[in-house]
Amino acid sequence: MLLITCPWCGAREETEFRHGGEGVRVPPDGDDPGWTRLLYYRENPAGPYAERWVHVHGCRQWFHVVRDTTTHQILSTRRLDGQEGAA
Amino acid sequence: MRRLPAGGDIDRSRPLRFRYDGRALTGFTGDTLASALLGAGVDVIGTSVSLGRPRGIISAGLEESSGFAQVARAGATEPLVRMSTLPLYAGLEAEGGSRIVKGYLRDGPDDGRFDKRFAHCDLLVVGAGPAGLAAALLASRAGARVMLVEADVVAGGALLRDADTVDGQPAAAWVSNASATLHNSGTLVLTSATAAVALDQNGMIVAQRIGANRAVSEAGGLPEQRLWHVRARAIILATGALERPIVFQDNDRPGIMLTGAARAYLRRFALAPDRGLVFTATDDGYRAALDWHAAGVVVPGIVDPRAASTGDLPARARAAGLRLFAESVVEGTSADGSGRLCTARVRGPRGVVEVECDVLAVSGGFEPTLGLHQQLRGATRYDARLGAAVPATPLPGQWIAGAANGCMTTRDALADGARAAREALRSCGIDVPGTACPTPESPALLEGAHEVIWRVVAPDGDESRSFVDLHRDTTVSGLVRAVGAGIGHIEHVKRYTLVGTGVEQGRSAKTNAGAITASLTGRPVADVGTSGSRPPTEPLTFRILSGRAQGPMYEPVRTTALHESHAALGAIFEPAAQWMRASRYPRAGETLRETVHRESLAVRGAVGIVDVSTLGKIDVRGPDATWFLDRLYANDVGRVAVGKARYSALCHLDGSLLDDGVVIRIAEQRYFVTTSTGHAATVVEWMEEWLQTEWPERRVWVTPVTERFSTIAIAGPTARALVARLAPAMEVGNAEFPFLAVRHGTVAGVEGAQVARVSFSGELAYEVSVPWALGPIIWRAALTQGEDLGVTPYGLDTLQALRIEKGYIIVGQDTEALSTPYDAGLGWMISAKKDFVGRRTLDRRASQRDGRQQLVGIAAADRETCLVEGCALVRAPGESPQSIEGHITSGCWSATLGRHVGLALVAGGRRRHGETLYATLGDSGAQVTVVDPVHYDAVGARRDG
Repeated sequence: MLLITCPWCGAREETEFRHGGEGVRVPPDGDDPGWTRLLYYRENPAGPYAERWVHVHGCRQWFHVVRDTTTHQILSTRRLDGQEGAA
Repeated sequence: MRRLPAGGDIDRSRPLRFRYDGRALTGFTGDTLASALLGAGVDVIGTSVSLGRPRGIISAGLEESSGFAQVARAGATEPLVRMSTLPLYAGLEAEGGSRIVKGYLRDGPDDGRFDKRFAHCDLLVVGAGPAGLAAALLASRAGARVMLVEADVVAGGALLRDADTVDGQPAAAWVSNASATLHNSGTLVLTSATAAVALDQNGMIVAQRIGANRAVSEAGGLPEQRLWHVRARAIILATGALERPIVFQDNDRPGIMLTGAARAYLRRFALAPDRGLVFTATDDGYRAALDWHAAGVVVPGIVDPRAASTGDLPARARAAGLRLFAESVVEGTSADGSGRLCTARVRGPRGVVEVECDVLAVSGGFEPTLGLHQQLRGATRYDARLGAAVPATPLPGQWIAGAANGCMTTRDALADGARAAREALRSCGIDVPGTACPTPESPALLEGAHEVIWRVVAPDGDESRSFVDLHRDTTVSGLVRAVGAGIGHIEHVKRYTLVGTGVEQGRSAKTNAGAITASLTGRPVADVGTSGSRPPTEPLTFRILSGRAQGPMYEPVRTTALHESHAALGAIFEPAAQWMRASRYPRAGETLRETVHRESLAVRGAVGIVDVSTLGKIDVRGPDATWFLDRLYANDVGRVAVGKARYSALCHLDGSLLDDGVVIRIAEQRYFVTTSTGHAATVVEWMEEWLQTEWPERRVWVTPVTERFSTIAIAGPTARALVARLAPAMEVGNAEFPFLAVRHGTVAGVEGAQVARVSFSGELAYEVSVPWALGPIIWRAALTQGEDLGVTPYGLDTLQALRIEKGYIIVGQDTEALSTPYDAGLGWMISAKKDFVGRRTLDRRASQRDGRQQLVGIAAADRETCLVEGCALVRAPGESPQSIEGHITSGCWSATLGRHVGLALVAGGRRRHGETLYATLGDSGAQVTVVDPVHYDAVGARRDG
């Protein structure tokens, strides 16, 4: 079980959060194969992975997480606007 | 073994009576169950798992592989409790026999209390042996918040059995002083507490036995066990080393134990054999012989496979006149009629001698305990000197100290514990200069004086009695068979032979199993390795995991403001997404079908009222509210006039349905949105996700208000008459208050009530929402003022029947994960003009393909067949194999139509109306006809009354 630092609330147990998967942005346009990739393909690297999590049982804020998928180390967490967390 | 007249940490003035396998026995306060049994002369504690061989106690601690008991507690029973770490208490009742390896569970509830606690600290030290105590002392003096957990009954670890002194004090005295110092400095010291599961980011699950280690009458209010969730800034694993046995023929006889155990039983419990033989591959093993000798026990010899060692301890043994069998091994044993050890066969350079003994203490060396390190996939490397795995590098935020780190002497362990504490504290920003640490007086153990020996080959070649894992009865023959079957990987050997699959995860068997497999396959030991350690390090009972979360405490139960009103009407309740909802209101003598029949006909023929307060409700407002809902909902929210409602749906990005609901426009930029009961939280999260991640510049506020409003639907042909009575000031005629209109006014005296013309039954219906606590006022008023109209409260069962008759779907029940609005027959709502989440995928050909699973109605051919949800639909009855055309998603008895009807998803279903399919019900299948989803009032004439 992970300990995740919410940029707004500080370090909390994983059970307070929901995993939002790879942090992808929806492009305003783009070709059809590109849309397929957006819907159904994820990078799933062995190593650092940029994800989004939401503090669903806390402040309800989404934020960026870089997690090493091989060690489960949380390498960084940031607010969605890119700012470092104050917490 | 027998109890010496004096000595030990037991209180002879306080004897304790207990029962083992029905026998009444006596031990002393301070005993463990294991020592009490040995003291009472019970050497044979039970029989082994598959061969039924007599077995005895092997260890005085965590190495134990045989001594487990079924322990009776008030109103419960606990299987497989380790005897060597279970303190004896008055009236303890334990079962041995075959229960030492096979526990059982009892039917019925367990009344014992089990608790959870959360703890946070700077430094968590696992293990209170020399390294752990040195680390905890140093850290607590430095002002850090320290937590120390010890799996054994008392702190001290190896210090408790060693004759060493520390800082000039006898080791045991130093341990109790250290414990007192820690306690006084506020360090949390937990004993009988197993660090069971290592979590990422320095989390640790610790299982502590509290009441379970006491008589029920003395446990007071204490929980049986407590599960600790610990988070630490740094962790020191000072988990020590376990002693490894040596495999030889008949090495499982009661009376054969580890040398550390022999010393612990002597020093802590004043237990000694009559004649104690020692078989050791290390200098350390000589301590057992010396201790015995000093206590007056006859030691017929020390068997050592090495050439005569020149270390301190062998020198002392020689000086004491003990007989040394150098370059010798024990190659077999014999037993008396009850299975107890009688003699050991010692083979040396000058042949074989039979040595009489009642205890044989064995030591193959010590190996680090690294289960917690390995749980998080910490790396290890093989240390040829120890013949065992040692940690390669600790995990981030963790330090490994003492014997667990390969520091096998007291001196090294104390120094390593202090070293680890300094490093760990530095990582927490606490600097402790210097190198001071507790200093022991202990005999020097020679570097390289250890000969690694795992197995003595049986002289007659029969190794079916040479036990590698006593708990699982795995023998060398078993390993030979595995290797002969072509199995080489140690994890496969484990599963083929069951070695290491016991409750103790074969802790003392693993290295031997790996090494013997290596020798059988001609590979280096380092290449074969050992099978991995998995969480938990010790078996945990389900009860400690569930804690108090059982029965009514398992999950919160949500009730509506009308719950008491329903109960007063004799409602039967059912759970729905944590809510308790009224299923139906049976009258005396009514069957389920009769109740639903009566309630349905009342709604279709007169008027019914139903509590729909559990529907999710969301307040959406802000300058961009219209823009926002237009981007999420499939139809044109922006074209909904103020004071009007619209049925709509949300899609995922892949076009699949997320939820449906009603969007009510309260004001220009303010909306009241409803969701299905089960999706209330999901939809709020969905809105927040899009607002935060994609449109942070948009100004919209989303507030869940489900529990702010009670909502009651009034439905049926005479609903208008009833609403007119309840809200005399409100124009309720069809022209003034048409379908999908929303009005605010006074209802049953409640001001500001919201009334919406929406219908989930197909009948003329008004949904009245008032502040949560005022719901009962509306409910009571409707029942009273509607009495002459035949007003009937109806429950979830009837609500379901009515909506199925009308083909109204429940998203998630009548849809699958991939169902689109088109599939669900909601294609009409998709706006032609605008973009919304899911639109792009819905526009693809694949989303509108003909053969997709589409919503249809089904009608049973006869009156008896219930259409069961989830049931597959096929083309022909009884044939197999055949392709599945679809499945039933909802079914009910339709009182209105006088038959069973349902909804189903069928491949290309929209073009298949009229076709006959078979539901896989009963032996021959039940015939159904595919029809339009709207079974009743297809033109929708009834909704306007």
